[in-house]
Amino acid sequence: MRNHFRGKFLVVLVTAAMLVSLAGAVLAKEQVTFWTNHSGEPDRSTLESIVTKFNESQDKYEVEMTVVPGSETDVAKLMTAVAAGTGPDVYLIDRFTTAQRAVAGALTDLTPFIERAGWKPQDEYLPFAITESTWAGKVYSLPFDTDTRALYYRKPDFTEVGLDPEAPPATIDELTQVMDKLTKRITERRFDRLGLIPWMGQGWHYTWGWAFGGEFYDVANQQLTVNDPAIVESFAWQADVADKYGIAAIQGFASAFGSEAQDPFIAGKVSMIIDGDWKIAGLKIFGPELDYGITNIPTKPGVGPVTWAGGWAMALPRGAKNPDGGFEFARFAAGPVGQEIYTRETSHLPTIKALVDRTDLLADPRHEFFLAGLPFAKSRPAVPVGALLWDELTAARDYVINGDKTPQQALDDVIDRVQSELDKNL
Amino acid sequence: MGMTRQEKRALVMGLAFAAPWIIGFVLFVAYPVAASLYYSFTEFTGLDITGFVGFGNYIEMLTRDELFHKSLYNTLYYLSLAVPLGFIVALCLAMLLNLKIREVSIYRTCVYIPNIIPAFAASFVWLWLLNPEYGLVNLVLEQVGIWGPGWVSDPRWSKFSIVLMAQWGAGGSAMIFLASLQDVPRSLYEVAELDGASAWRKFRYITLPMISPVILFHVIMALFGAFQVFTPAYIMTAGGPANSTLFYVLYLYRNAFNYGKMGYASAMAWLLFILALVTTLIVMKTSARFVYYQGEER
Amino acid sequence: MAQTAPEARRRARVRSMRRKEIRTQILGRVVLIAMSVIFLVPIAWMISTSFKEAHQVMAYPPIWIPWPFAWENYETAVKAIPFLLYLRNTLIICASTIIGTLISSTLVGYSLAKIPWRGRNALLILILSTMMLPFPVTMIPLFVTFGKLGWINTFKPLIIPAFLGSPFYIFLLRQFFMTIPGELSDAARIDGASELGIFGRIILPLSRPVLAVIALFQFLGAWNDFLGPLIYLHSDKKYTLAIGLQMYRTTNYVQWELLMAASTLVVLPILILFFFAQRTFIEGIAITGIKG
Repeated sequence: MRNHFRGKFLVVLVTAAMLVSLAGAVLAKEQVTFWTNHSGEPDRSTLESIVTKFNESQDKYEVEMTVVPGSETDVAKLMTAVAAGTGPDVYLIDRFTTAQRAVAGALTDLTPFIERAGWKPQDEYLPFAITESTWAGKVYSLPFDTDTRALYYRKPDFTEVGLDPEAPPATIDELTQVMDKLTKRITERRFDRLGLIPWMGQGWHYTWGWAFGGEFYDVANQQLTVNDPAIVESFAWQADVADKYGIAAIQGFASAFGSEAQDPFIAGKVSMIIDGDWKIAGLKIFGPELDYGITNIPTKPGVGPVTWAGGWAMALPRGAKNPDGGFEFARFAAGPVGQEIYTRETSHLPTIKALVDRTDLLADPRHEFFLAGLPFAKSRPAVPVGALLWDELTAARDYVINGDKTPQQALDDVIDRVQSELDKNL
Repeated sequence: MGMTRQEKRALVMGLAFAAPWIIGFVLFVAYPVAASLYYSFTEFTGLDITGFVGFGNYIEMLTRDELFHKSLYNTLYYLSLAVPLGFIVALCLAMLLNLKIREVSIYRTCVYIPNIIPAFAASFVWLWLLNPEYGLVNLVLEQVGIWGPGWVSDPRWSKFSIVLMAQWGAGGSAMIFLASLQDVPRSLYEVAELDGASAWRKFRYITLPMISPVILFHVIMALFGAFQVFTPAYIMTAGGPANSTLFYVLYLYRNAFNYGKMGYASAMAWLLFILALVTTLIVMKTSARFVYYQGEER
Repeated sequence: MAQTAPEARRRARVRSMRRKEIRTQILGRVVLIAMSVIFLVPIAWMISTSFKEAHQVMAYPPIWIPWPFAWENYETAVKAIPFLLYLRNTLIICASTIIGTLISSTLVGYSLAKIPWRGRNALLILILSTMMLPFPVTMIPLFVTFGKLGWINTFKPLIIPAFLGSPFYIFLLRQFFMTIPGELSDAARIDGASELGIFGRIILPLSRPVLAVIALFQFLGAWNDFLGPLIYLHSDKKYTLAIGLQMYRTTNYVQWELLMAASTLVVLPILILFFFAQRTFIEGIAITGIKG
């Protein structure tokens, strides 16, 4: 009797064990690793919730997310890991560096995965975003979020000097005049407030070059065109500003705010600044009382509204151990479900066409202004020398505003240095 | 061979004591160093070698790359100011901290603080102190009738400003000097004092010779540090304004990781290596005349 | 009477020496206090910011004494990252590398300074020359080596190299050992002491101050190291505090008040440690007078 019981018990036990292991074999999900350097909130926890959603949505893959802190260009970690074959399956990449990393051999070509899935990302994503993700006709990343730029201005400052706070400058000429009006001098070489420092915030070479109607790259001929007369003019305008107020005085004034810890716009030391949509969140935290407006970046007449977009993308590093799972997750996160969650929780802008009209996702109505800019947003040239071009343009601008080079010469020099590097990769 | 038993024993013991480093060299240093030398003759993205170019990278950097020359110039400029100034400041600090003052522990701690706090906090305060408009430094200068420059924002002053900022970390070197000053036998000073030696003579004929081995250490390390200066430009000025703080290793780093030119970066590294090696050998050779080793085996 | 004149002169000289000493002390104090103030500004700013509310962080002109104190920043900062776990990881790495460095670098330094073997000067140059190649170009092959050993995502790449000697400390120790008179070790050698015995019983005890400096430097180096843990550790459970501090950085702005609260928590213990550790320099060998 006892033996019988024991036998029966054993049979049950063995059966149960077999069932469990069978279920385990079916249910055991393949591991997918995902790295991001979005260490701050709300980005980090939102990415985590996208991961959770993906893990719940299917039972083949289990994604594990790791935060890899560091700045966006700090790719030492990615490069070393890929070189040793210890990299992740999915990596959130600064989209504008896609071509660069692809040429360096750090990324997996996604085109075969896309073809196998019978999918056309070009139909789904905004043109500028998928262009940035593509190099030499192959897709290397799936666009995630984006951002655009605009002119922020302090309404009370406008009122104070007799300007209409509801009619901010729209053209470069108007801007130049308003800058002058808003500037308060203490002495000839000292300022209490400047109207605008063109190169502060997001007032990059690209911003003004486009605002003056220039183009930086001729895609068809694969030629850099940074000495486009309009861009030369935009540099000359910045040199004029530097001259008029005195470069030493402006830079001295600006360097009070050289580190990230001080915001001259909040402090009322500049009345206007070019900045991105993320500034709304920053202002809410650091300057909750501030009454400010947002408007289009002033342009040359006839250029039309101008803004430009950056943002991030999901990529599969070379040597990903689970590329199929990685691609599934990348497509989910960068797809409608993932992007909807991300837009709603972080107010970063989406790159999916279907979400462009979804103003209901935005926490603050002020973000709508930036969403509206997406259809005409420009993006930096999708070339493998993007970082070099950026650094060279920045140095060229410094030379010009310091009076060390003429705009024409500085921009010619940029082409000299960068075009040959670009040609090596063509 | 022509070695005595004693010499043989010394050789075996010497190698045995040096074994940890020799093992480390074989395991972790030799291969990466050899690899980087090989890369310097190639086009290498960091992941793929796309071509062998012989001395192409070296020729390009020496003959064509304007920014390379600028970064080398910036570094040598920095080095020629930072090394002597750093030495003087650190040694003076150490001598002050070696005074017999009751609360000297507190001063030692204060002086060492900049070495402890994270770089971003320090960089903020520096930018604030050196601000041309509101900064403390220019405010003080104004009191004596000098109109201070735009320290960090003016390309002509930015390198010097970084030299100045580096002095803030002098507490580290001062600790090493302090440890070595503590080692100078007090009896030497007592004898000299009874002979009526002046403070300068005591410094010149006792302190300096007694700590000269540590001075040699400091100078060589300071040279290496200056050749490879990177962090302040990386976190504070990003090489600007107008490339005036684009130091050698910052430009090398950009080539390696931002521009995908690891081969070129390796060539730069090897040129710097040769430069540093020659400098070190010169310093070592000349030091033989100045450095006094009490324990020198003759 | 004839003897009192020189005696009086000697006394006068001692008195004048005293006076000079007092003058030096006063002057030294003034300079040291001034220096200390300059050197204290950043930490004052750090602590002050750690007590600010977010909207006060950017106030201009800067607020130095926030009121009321936002104590809650500390709670938020500690909860935002697994603070204790990262502290534990950091301390493991710090302690292991200090032990490793002290053992290995002293041995190698001793070999270079005190054992008269042929080739030791060439070895010194070789050791120094390994410091001259900038890290970015050896980083990838070194990483691949650690990868082949299966050490990635463990503390091994951060700890084991410390047991194989660091050029900076080896050179520093060599220079210090060189100043120890040779007669001491020679006498011991004649008495039949082994090299290890001379090293352990004579040289090391005489080098306590510099060993303290090395322990301190190594502690701080490991405590603040960002790049090493960043590239070698792939799991966020293994991260160190230096990496944890970066978690207050969002893509577009920094949560300064939290970052500074966490930094203060990270810095204060080191400050206290340093305050007590530097006594080792004061109570150095010089006072006991064994040396020289």
